[in-house]
Formats: sequence, structure tokens, C-alpha cells
Amino acid sequence: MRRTHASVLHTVAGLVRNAPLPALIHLYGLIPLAVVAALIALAPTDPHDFWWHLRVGRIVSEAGVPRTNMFAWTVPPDQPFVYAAWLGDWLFYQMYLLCGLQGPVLARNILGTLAFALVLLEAWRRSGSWRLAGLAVFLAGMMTINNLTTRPQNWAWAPFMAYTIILSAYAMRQVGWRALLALPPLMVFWVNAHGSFVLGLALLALYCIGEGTRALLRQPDAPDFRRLAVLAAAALATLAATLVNPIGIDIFAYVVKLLTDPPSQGLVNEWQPPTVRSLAGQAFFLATLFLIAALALGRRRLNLTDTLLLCAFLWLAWSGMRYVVWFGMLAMPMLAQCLARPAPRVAAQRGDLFAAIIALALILGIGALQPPFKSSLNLSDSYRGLFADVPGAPLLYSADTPVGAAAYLRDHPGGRLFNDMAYGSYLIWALPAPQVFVDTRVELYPLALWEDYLALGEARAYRTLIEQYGIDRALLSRSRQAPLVAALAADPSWIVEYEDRYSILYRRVAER
Amino acid sequence: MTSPSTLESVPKPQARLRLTLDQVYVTAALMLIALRPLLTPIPPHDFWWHMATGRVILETGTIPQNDLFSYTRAGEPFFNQGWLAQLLMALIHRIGGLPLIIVVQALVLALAYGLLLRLCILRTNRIRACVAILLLVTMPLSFDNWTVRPQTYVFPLFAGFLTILTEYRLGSARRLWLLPALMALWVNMHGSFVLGLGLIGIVFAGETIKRWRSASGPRLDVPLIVWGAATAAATLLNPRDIEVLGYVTNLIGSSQVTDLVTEWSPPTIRDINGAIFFLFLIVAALTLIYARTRPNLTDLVLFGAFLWLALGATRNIVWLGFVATPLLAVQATTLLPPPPQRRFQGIPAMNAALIGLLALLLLIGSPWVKPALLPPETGALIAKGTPVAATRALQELPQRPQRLFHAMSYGSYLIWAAPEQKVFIDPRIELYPFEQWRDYILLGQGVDVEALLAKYRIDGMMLSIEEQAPLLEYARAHADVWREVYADEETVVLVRSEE
Repeated sequence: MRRTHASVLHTVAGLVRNAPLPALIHLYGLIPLAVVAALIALAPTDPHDFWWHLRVGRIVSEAGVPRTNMFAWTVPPDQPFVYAAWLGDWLFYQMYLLCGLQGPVLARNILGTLAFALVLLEAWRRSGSWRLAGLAVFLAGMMTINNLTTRPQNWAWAPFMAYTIILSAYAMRQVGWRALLALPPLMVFWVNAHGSFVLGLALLALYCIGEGTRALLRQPDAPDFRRLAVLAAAALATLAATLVNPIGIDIFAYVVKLLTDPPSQGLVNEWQPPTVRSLAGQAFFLATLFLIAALALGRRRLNLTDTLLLCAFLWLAWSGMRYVVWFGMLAMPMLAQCLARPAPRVAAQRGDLFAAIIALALILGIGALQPPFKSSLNLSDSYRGLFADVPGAPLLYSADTPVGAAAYLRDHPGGRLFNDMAYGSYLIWALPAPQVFVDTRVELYPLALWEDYLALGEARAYRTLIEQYGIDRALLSRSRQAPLVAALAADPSWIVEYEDRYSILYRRVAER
Repeated sequence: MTSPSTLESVPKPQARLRLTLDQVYVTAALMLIALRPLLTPIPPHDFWWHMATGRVILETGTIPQNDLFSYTRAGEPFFNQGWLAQLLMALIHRIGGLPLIIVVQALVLALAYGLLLRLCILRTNRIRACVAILLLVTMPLSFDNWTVRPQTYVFPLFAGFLTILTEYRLGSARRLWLLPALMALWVNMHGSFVLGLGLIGIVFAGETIKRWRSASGPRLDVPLIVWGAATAAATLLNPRDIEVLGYVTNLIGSSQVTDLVTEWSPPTIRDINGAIFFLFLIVAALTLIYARTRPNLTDLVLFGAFLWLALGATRNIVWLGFVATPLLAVQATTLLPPPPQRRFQGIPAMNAALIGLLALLLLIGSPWVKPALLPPETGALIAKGTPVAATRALQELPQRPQRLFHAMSYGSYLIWAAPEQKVFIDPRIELYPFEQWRDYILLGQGVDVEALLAKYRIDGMMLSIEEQAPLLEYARAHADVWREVYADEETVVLVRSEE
């Protein structure tokens, strides 16, 4: 019997020795990745930029890509609107069909974890150190914490990292021209999934300029003419690939319009420049400080192309919070590279059972945070309080999702509704024939309408504006539109139809 | 230990009358720095109320401890921390009026940035490169903060601290005794005196780490500890001794200050000064990347700490300019080829002509000459937006309003020009509660006008057409209640009609 046990133990030990197990050193990378994956899984999905996309996904699935307003009564129903992220919307809707309302959030979690795993790999490739790669992932994750909501941008994270890795590896002569073949098909996906596809073109342009300049300056390891020509050809092919979308070359006009749209630039929080007054802003600027110190004191220097990329994406990140995520993913691997030894020690890492157990525990832990299992965890009441009670999707959607108010409106339709912008997004999904005042398709509405929307929310000359628009119902956010909530509460011509902790629905009645 | 200073190797003007090109560079830099304040009219916000307080100190011989100027906070305690600078400003005004104020401003800035330039040259021995860095990199970063106010008067003190501490780092401790003396001045002039303590603390930490890493010499910086402690003790040499620290803490933590005052808000690339700041960061990062030597640890820690400070509030960018310039100069000059043994020093006559030309510019820009020669944007002594004529018109009214509502900057000028006219609000941000600031903004935007006018029992208004157009529109729409008694391109004065 004892001999049998010894034999079994011996066999297990042999299996462990031969299995492709992670080494202890890999935990330096895996643990920060798991922390970031957990943050992603724990982040609530705000209503702002999700629900209307899901509705569009359904329309794409059933009738093709729409091209007009459809959902708002304040602009003509046939007013043109570009649904540039139609593929991202469609994919979210497919996830919805597959797993219900848990599906899109599960997709976000997988896409986020995949993107940061690519950040980890890129940082490791550049630095040769799992410790520094782990640091890079952690810093990139921290500066992204206010950008983790579920929305089409999630589909662009991995393509961005794929572009970054392929181009960087090509510039460092670690891959040949065949790797560049992946760029155009990837762009076909990206251009239809999210408007950030222009960043792929920007990466290519910056690599062409940087590598071309390095060649002109005859810097060490600069590419020869053939490699430069291949890079330029890949850039042209990728540019051509951007035309594979429902509106062809007009996609660029759409991007330009979006980037210069006064309401988007002036009124939307995430388009505002980052400052140290928010946690994510602090993480971003601390990482930037750390990066500057690493550039100054680090053992390795960035080459011209990397410097160009860094400056361009840093400027982009300073211009709007929504760009910080891209800067983090691109720059933190460079930070790891600067801090790494000039010639990293390349020693074979032996698989380790303890490391394997820890890695498995991390994977199980992250798995437990995913939608099917998350609600059964013993999470604190304060955390549970962050979420709305969405049927079939507990602990996924943020508490200010107006589930109850939308259900009431579904049962009691009618009227010209004034609504909070974020609520508009949910109403588009939840109502059979939504007609909202505004929603988060910011560029759809003229600036004057947004100014009236803000004035109404602050109860400035609200009676005049209500008359002007003929508004007879108002679904308001208690926190974002507190002045109007108070004004209507004191106004005898308005009565409360529905209210809960976050929202309140008023109806206009005859003057009493 | 110290490398021979280029300043010492430059022929002294007294010894040789022939001007060298190096001397032209230094002189031209200082003259150009002085030219900017000479050509900048004084903005009203943070100037007049300081002058008025200085006048009170001068006339009464006491430092006011309570609000003397408003009807909304009359008699409430107010910590008048910059009393010495206010006194100085009032004294200068009494001697030479506004022109002398402007000339002193130019001299103060030239002194501060002259000290900084000297410091850079001391660190690098490269006069021309340092002048170029100071003029092209540091000046654009700092211009926004060069208004006439107590803060500017402490710039030379900050530069002095930096110089003394750098000399100490380079091996000379003979000027450390000056730190407590300078601090005794600083603590009575402006709340930024805590930065002096910060400089000492960071230098101490950086040098200690360096000593610890090199394991040579004594582990403790005894002279710095002694003089640092004396400098900390010198902060108590003010009329309110230890309370001054509480004042600074309250000011930094005050939500009305950080939320409402533009210069306390973080820089962003959406305005020109923010864009210059972030461009400066890019230049700094590039310099650090490509410099041929690693930066000094203490320099880098100073840079990091003051960069964080600047990221928190636009008004702190000017301090970053002071600490970053020597670092950038040292790192950037590693990229230059070594200077030739004998540098071309120009033709003496041409050099003298250049200096003469700049002197002529200074003369044209001087406040006694410029109003006659230059357009108002640069030729005026007082900036547009100062309600001089409107205040005069208000004073001439047979029956003046007792509870006047007005733009914040007008409050500052009224305190000076019409001290008998108590103000609603003024740039002493921390004096007024947040609720009053909110009401001030809402009223200016024409929100809840009737309720707010009633709340503060407003019987007159001096409105800025640019900043308070909605309220002016309201008042004009209610001409039966609000009678317009004065109007110019910028300001309208209205009084409430007798019921």
C-alpha cells in the first residue's frame, strides 16, 4: 500500500515537472493582471453609453445599419446620424442573445482582461522582466479606472494593443513583414467597431515618420529601405481597409465632425482634459511623473520612434480623459523598458507547483467575479448599493439606471418627455417606441438644444423652456438635476407620477 | 568642489568698458524680462484691495484683523497675511504713484529671474545657452503669473532660497544663515512661504539619500538641519505666530478658493497658458530623455514635487519654472558641443548699440513715457476692466446705493477708490462663504434674480457687460425698478428706483 502511495506521488511529481506550469517569477505579472481584471469585473456599467448601443445592435441584427435619428422627438426622425460603432453594437447584441443582459458585461470583462494581458506581454517583450511588466499593467490599469464601463470602445482595446505590439516588434526587427499582414484585416474590424480606429492609422503614421527619420539619421538599428517600404505599404493597405465600412470614405468626415463637435467637446465629461482632482486623474499624472523619472534615470533610452509615440499620445491624453486609456496601454510598456537592465538576464524559469496553484486561484477568483457567479458572492452592502436591480443581471448595471421609471413609462406611455441625458440611453433600450428629449448621442443634437437641456436641469427660466418645447412629462435624475426636481416639486402645475431613490417622474397637470 | 563660475570669468564691466557678447546676452535677458511688466497694464483683481489694506496700515499703524471693506462680511475676522507686501505697495504708491509701482514690479522680476539666471550659469558655465533657456522656455511658462501683487514680491525670495540651497549643494554653506532672515520677510509677505520650507526639506532629503548611497562623508547634513530648523522657527516671526500655518492650510483646503478661482484650478491644454505648460513638460521630458548625463537626484525630486504642485493649480506653475530651469539648463547643455576656448565676443561698438537699443525700448516702455507713445493695450497703466469712470460716476450720485452688487474685480477697485462704498464681494475669496459665492455667480447669470436681490437687499448694481450680461438684460427689462445712471463700453451702473 505504502509502495502504491509512493508510486502515485512519484507520478504526480513527474507530471508536475513536465507540465507547462508557470514559474514563480510569472506571478509578478499575473497578480497585477488579476487585480486589473478584478477591477474591470467589479466596475458598474453606467447607462450613458451602453443601452442605446444595445438597441442599435438589435436594429442592425434585424434590419441592417440604421442611418437616422429614430429615437428623439426634439430633432426630425429622419435626421441623418452615423452609427459608426455598428459592429460593436451588433456584437454586444449577439452577446445579449447568448447570455441575456449578462452577456455584454461578460464581453467587456473578457475584452478588458485580454487587452491588459497584451499590455503585460508587450511590457515583458520590451523589458524582459515580469516584475516591470507587472508594474506596467498595474499603472496602465489604475489610470483607466474611470474608463471601464461597457460600451463599444471595449472592442477597440485589443486591436489597439495588437497594432502596438506588431508595429513595435517590427520596428525592433523581432518579426518580419508577414506580421504586418494582420494589420489591414484587423482594421476592417476596428473601423466598424469603434471610432478610435483612427488611432491605428496614427500609430502607423508615427511609426513611418519615426522609423523614416531614424533611417535618414542613420541611427543604430534603423530600418533599411526595404523594411521602410514594407511598413509604408502596410500603412497604405490599412488606410484602404478603413474604407470597408457602410459609409466608405465619409467615415473620416464623421470622425472630424465628432472631434470638432462643440457639444461633445464642451459638455461631455470624458472629453474634458484630465486633472489631479479625480482619482483616475491622479493615477494618470502620477504615472506620467513616474514615466518622466524613468526616462531620466532609467537604464535604457527610448529611440526616436518611441519618443514620438510617447509625446503624441501624451498630448492626446492631456486633451481628454477618454484618451488616457490609450496612453496607458502604449506608454507603460515603454516605462518598463526604460527601467529594465540593458541586457536582461535570460534564464529558463522552472515551472513551480506553488506558482501554478496561485495562478489557478487567481483565475478562479477572476472567474468568480464574472456575471454568472458574481451575484452569489458575499459582497458588501455598500458595494451592492452601487447597482440597479436589473432583472436577470444583478450587480452589473449602475444604480442610476432608471429601471423602475422605464417600466412605469412602458405601462403609461405618451406625452412629450423631458429626460436626463443618461436616462435617455436606457429609455431607448427599454421602451418599445422611445421618443426622448436627448440621449448620449451627443453629436446628434445642436448646441442650442444642449444649452436648453442644461438650463432646464438647473431650473433656469424653466417655465419658458417648458412652454417652448411643449414638455408635459419629465423624468429627472435627483442628483444631476436637483434644481429642476426642487422647482417642479414646488410648482403646482406638476405632479409626481413615479419616484424612486435616484429618479423622479413628473407630469404636467392643469394649473391648480 | 564647485566648478569655477563663468560669472567670475566674465570680464567685469567696471574693469573693462568694452562690452562682450556674453555681457550683452545677460543684460539683454534682464532688460527683456523687465520690459514685459513695464508693458503690462495692472489688472484690477488682486491689486487694489492689497493697496487699500496697505494704505490702512500706513495711516493707522495697525494691521487690520477684520473685514473693513464689505457690507456682507463687515467686521468678520480676516487673516491679513501679506501685510508687509501691502505696506510696501502702499508706500511705493505714496512715493511715486502707479508709475513707480510698475517700475518696482519690473525690478523685482528682473532681480528674481536674474538670480535664477545666475544660478543656471553657476551650474553650467554656459551663459548663452542659459539665457536662451530662460527666455524661450521659462519666461512663457511664467508670464501668466506676473501680475502686481504680493506674490510677485516674494519671487526674489524664492530664487534666493534656491540659490543658497544650490550653493550649499555645491559645497558652500556660507550663505545658509540668510535663510531664516529671508523667511522672516517671506512669512509676512505671502502665504507661499511654506514653499521655502518645502525647498529645504526636499534638498535635505535628496542630499541625505545621495550621501547614504555614496556612503561617504557624514550621514547627517548638520548645517542644513540647524539652519533649516532656524528657518522653520523664523516662520513664527509674524503678527499671528503659529496661526499662520493654520491660515495657509485653510486657504489650500478652502473649497471656494479651489473651486471658484481660475488660477487655483488645474491647468488644461484648452487654454493658452495650460497649453504652454504642457508643451513645457514635453520639452522637459525630451531634454531628460536625450541628455547625455543622468539628472541630479535632488534636482529631479524638486522637479517632481513642484510639477505635482503645478498640476494641482495653475498659480503654482511659476514655482515650477524656478526649480525646473536649472535642471533643464544642466541637462540641455550636455547636448551642446563644448564651448571653444575663445568665444566670439562681438564687436564692442555693436554690443553697446544693442544694449542702447534695448535701453531705448525700456525708456519707451517706462510708465512715464508709454501712455503717450503706445496703444492702450500696452500703454495704459491700468488694465481694461478697471471701473475708474463708473466709480467716479457712482461717487457723484446725490444718493448712493448702500448695498451695491457688482463684479468681483470691481469690488477690488471700489475698496481702493471709494472706501466709503462698502462692497458685496471682492477677490478676498476666503473671506466670503461658499453660499455667497454661489449666489454671486447665479445672480450674474440672471438666475433667481428677484429672490437673490431680495435676499441681499440690493439697491444698486455696477455690472460688467462682459461677465454679467444676463443680469444686465434683466435689469434693463425692468427699467421701472432699475434706473440706469451710468454706462460705458464695459460697465453699467444702475440704482433701484424709489418705490
